[in-house]
Amino acid sequence: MEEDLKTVAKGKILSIRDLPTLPRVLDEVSRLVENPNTTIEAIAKVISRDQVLSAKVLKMVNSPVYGFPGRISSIQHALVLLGINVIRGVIISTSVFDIMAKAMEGLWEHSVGCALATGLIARKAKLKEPEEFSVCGLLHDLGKVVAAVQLPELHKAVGETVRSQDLRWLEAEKAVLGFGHDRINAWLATHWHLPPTIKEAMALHHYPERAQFYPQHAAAVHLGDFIVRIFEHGSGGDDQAVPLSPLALKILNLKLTDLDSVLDGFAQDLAEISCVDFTPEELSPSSGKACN
Amino acid sequence: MQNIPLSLAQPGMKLAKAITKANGMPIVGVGIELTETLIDRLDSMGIDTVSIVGDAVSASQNPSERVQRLDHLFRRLEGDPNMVKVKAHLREYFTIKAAADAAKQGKG
Amino acid sequence: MANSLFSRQQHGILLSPDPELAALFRSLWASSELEWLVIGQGRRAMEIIFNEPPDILVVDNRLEDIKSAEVAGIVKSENVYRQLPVILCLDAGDLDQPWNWNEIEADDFLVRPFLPTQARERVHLTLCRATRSMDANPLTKLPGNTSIISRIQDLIDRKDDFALAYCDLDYFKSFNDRYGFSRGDEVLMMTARVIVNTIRSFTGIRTFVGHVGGDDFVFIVPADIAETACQRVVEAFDGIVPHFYDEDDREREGIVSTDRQGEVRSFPLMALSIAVVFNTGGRLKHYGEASAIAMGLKKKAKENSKSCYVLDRRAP
Repeated sequence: MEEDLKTVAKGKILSIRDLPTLPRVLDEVSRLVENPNTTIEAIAKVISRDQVLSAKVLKMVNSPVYGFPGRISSIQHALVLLGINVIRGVIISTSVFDIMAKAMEGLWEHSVGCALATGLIARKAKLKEPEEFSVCGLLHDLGKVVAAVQLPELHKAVGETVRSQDLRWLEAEKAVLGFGHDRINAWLATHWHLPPTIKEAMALHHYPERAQFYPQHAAAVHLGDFIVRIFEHGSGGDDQAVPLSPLALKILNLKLTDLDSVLDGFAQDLAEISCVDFTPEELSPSSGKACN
Repeated sequence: MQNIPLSLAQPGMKLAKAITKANGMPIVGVGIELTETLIDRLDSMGIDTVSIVGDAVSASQNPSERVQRLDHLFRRLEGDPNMVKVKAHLREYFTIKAAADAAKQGKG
Repeated sequence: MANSLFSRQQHGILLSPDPELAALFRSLWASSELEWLVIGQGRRAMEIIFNEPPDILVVDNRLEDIKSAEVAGIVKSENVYRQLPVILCLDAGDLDQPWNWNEIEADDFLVRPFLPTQARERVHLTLCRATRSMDANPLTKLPGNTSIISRIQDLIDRKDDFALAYCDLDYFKSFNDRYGFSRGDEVLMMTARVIVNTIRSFTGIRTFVGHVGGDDFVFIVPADIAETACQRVVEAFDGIVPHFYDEDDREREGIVSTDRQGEVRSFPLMALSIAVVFNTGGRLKHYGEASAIAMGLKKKAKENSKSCYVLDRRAP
């Protein structure tokens, strides 16, 4: 019985066509892309703050159609290889969540925060290509977004279980679905030919000790998730601390006290990422837009 | 002054600019302090950004707030000696930070 | 129009017993553009087709001695004639039953009553499409040598100011030896995207990117942006190519291999060498000149083991 639910759910997950994002993100990217003077760097910066657009871009560039599946893990590189026409096409065909539940916005903040924290961890651990680690952090909860879109009733049930039984989101997922967003991540990463580093980090960020090939990526995201929850920046669906995997720090050759400078950096950078990049001219004299 | 998404607004923040409807009708005046109720009301009206006074050290960045939240965040991990150690370390970290902030404010 | 679409006189063979169809086709083109040889019987025509394949073959289903589908089948089954485009002429009733287009490998069909304008355009389109697909590089689908040469000559004849950049990859062979041709193909696909997108990012100008074959690419841009174009292409390529190597090779920034003699040889990461030839003030008369100049420049570019570009600085 359980096996059937999993198979059906997996089919629904993988058949996702329309992955929506937040209106404010789409607005910003659309504006940028329409500006003829825009640079790839500028677009990459904005896209790197959104898990859905980042996932779409990485999925497309790693598609066998382009000829080099599983090779590209950098948003910047992905955009260079996709080109402005394709990027515009992706942006145009992206829709927005019409029910702007606060919970969804919270998940976005949480993911951006995790990207930031994971990147800081990678730098602290003196790992190469910290941006790749940031991308892993950004995508660590993508499975939750896809589940919300493709399995809305079950997603709702998970939320209710979190509240009624004071569980962590992962625990509630296992209770309701029989599997967690980490499993969903693994399905998506495989189906979309994402690079193995990203795949392993997405799939094993809750159990980094099980990572066979890229334990550092999984461990960094694990710690990044821990940190962003300590600061309660955004929400991953529950308000509990991550029970740290005993090997996470060891895998990265870090001690608990090493986290202090990471926490410092995170608090500092939080101010930067907390704000949407409005320039003063774009705001009308009465601040705050009312939607009609 | 800082423009932030409404989702990051916290009770206690003060408005740096009045909030008006698109047609100019005022909703909330400048200088008003946000409350949970007010924030909810603005949310239901579709307001998505507000201008607030100060550097808006949000609750997530406020170290004393962090100290207070630790018990809640770790509530199910009290039986795990490793996590108890981690929590103690974080308490120490944020307490020091909060003290440093208070000292700065005192001087300023 | 036919003259501007095609660089030389085209030859077509029309297999049809219908004098009206023959008259229509002859009326649509001057014979200097597209000359039609009309043959009333199918079987007789086969030998002519095999001996002197036309640029296009139009077969009327009304042929009495052989079905048009069979003619198409015979032609397409020979690899040397597969590229010959075949258009069938049908009566509306012929389409009552579906045709198995997998088996009958025609390229297009026309239906009676024929609209002269449609017939003309469809023939043009079929001819252009055939050149396109024949010439496209099978891996990257970029235009190949024929299109490249034709475009260069066209620009030379119009005395346009342009820069012609010849690119290839240094140390591509050693990469293939180490990682296999499949991964080598991945690098080529990536290189194609990098060049195409970088060149296209210069908005509002006419550009062209071709793939001669293997690791040889060509791009054409206005002379004034040539240097910037090279800079950007090289920068993008250098940033991405390390990711096609395994971690250890990426770390040491090269490949170390032992050849059959037991000699240890090391090769740096692949690099782009670009040789840029300028046609300003109409100095070039023939595309051959351009490639000759490029060869000399290319030697210079390859002296540097890192990606680099060399611009032809000679005054006209």
